Amino acid sequence: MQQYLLRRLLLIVPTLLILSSMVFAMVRLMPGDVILIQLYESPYFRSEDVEALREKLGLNVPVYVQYPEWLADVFRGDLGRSLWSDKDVTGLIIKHLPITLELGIMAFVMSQSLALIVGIISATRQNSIVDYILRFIAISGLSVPTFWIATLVIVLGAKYLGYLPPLTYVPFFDDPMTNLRQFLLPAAIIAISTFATSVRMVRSSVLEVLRQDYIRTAQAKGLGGYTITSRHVVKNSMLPVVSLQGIQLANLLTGSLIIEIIFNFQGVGYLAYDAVLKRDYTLIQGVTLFFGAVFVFVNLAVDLIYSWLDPRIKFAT
Amino acid sequence: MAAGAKLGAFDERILERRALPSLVIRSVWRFARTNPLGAFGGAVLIFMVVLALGADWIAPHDPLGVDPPNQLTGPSLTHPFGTDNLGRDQLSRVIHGARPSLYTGLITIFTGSLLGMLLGVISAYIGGIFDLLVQRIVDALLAFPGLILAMALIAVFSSGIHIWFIDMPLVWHSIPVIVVVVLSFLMIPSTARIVRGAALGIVNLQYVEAARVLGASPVRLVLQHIVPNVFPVVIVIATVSLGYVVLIEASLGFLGLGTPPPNPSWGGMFSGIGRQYFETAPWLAIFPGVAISLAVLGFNLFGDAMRDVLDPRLRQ
Repeated sequence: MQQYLLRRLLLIVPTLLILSSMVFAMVRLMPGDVILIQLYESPYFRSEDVEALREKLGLNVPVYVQYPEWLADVFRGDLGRSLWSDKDVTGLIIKHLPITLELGIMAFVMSQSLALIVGIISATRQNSIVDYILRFIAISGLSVPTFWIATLVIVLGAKYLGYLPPLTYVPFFDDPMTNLRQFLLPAAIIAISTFATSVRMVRSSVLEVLRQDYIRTAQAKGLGGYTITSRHVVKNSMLPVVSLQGIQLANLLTGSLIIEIIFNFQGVGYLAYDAVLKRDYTLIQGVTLFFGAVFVFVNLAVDLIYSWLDPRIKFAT
Repeated sequence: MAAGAKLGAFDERILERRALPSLVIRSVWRFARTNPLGAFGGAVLIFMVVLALGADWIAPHDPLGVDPPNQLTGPSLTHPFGTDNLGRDQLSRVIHGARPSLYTGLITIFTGSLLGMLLGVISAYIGGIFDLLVQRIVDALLAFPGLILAMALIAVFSSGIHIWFIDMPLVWHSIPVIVVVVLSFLMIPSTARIVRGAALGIVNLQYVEAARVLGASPVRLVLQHIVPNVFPVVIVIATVSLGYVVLIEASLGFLGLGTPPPNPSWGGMFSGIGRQYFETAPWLAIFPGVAISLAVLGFNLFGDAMRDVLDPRLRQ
């Protein structure tokens, strides 16, 4: 176990280093000059500002000096200052994080619990009419764009259902009911595509287990369908599902961008979008790095849980 | 001898002429019968290609033709999908909107899966430190959320500057060039990861070794002996990705980063000023969305069917 843990942790170091150098390079090696682009678009452009800003951002020294310094800052949790608002990027991310976190977690819980039930029903009734309908729903969920559903909900919801997107965000601990009412619908829309992916995974994983010999043995022993499903099938089919769930959790924590924009939720995705529109390169860099790191660490956590659930992993090369 | 050869060739030609069309028809028919949903997906794909290629002839009106007196009229016989805030015919815009989506999707999966395949195969073939390094880079690239990375890259590349020595146009024949470049790039790591896995099982097989002993060059080994064997995997990745790429393209269009107005694109119809008319003219929001959903559904069904046919390990 310790050896596995160590190897898995060591593997993260090069990944994070490469990740950070890519984010670093993205802004610095881009065609043209970030500073000039930034300043051309700002209303108070003076030529002496160019050198001043260059120095402030540490861009006046060679790249091989910049990178270690920048990396050291990143490790201290300092992602630089926004080019647009001059606010601390780390602070901005922390400020916007709770909304994204809540949306992501709610969508995760909804999609996964439903996917588990639907996937098992679909698989245990393989090729029945119920299975076909559920599979069609799943693949439709993968095909319908999030921004379209959200737009329809806002447009038609406002017209016929009396639903209005919130104007201001109410934190959960201030007023749980209002907060839930604000978050439930957007989170449900985010959950659709995640649900669709998971259902397909659960279904195929359950089918895989149903073909195993020990299931036939259980049937031969005369166990009922429910007992077999709940006792033998579910536990054994969850392994691949868990590893997919990890990726999905990471995706949800980083991927509620479109919903945040449509429903006017000031989460981290919104922050990223805003940064792109304003060409705020330090902010883009910070958010991208943050999302990449979140993904890497969630994956690490999933791998560790996985090795705990399935001890065979630890001994495999 | 000469007569025999002639006769043989003659026979073959007859066989070919007779067999090929009927073989194609028969296999298509078999595919449709065993895989009705996949056949539906294939039909959608063909329909989309026809729509995109023939948009100029199929669309009843000019997609850019402004007609102020007729703005925001509901669906009617002359404008089956209604008109938008400038009086442009929505049906024509939806038909023309198939172009950026389909072209982006097809070019992206072609270049993305080709480059990803080469990277994966070469990584598996060379192995060692090179392989380790490539895989860590792939790890890092896979860690970025697709849409955010695409957005950031497009922001970086579309800053209105020459890219290297090429003056890259934003749109070329209704294809959003930067979007295609960025999405192709984003397809490389996942393709390379899967193809590498498939290629690892092949590089050490005896026939590859035999070819090497016979003096085949590395290029020949890779292209002649390894690539053909990972090709089904690549086809599966490409077809399964098509729907996803079209969806991402539409999402970027929605974010205002795709085909710039006034050129019609499905995602673009949801961005910008058009949004504020959705409440009074819901058909503006409904039809393009139906078009995207139907197309992506078709591509997904087709991709699933192709996977079932080409990759027996995944067959259920």
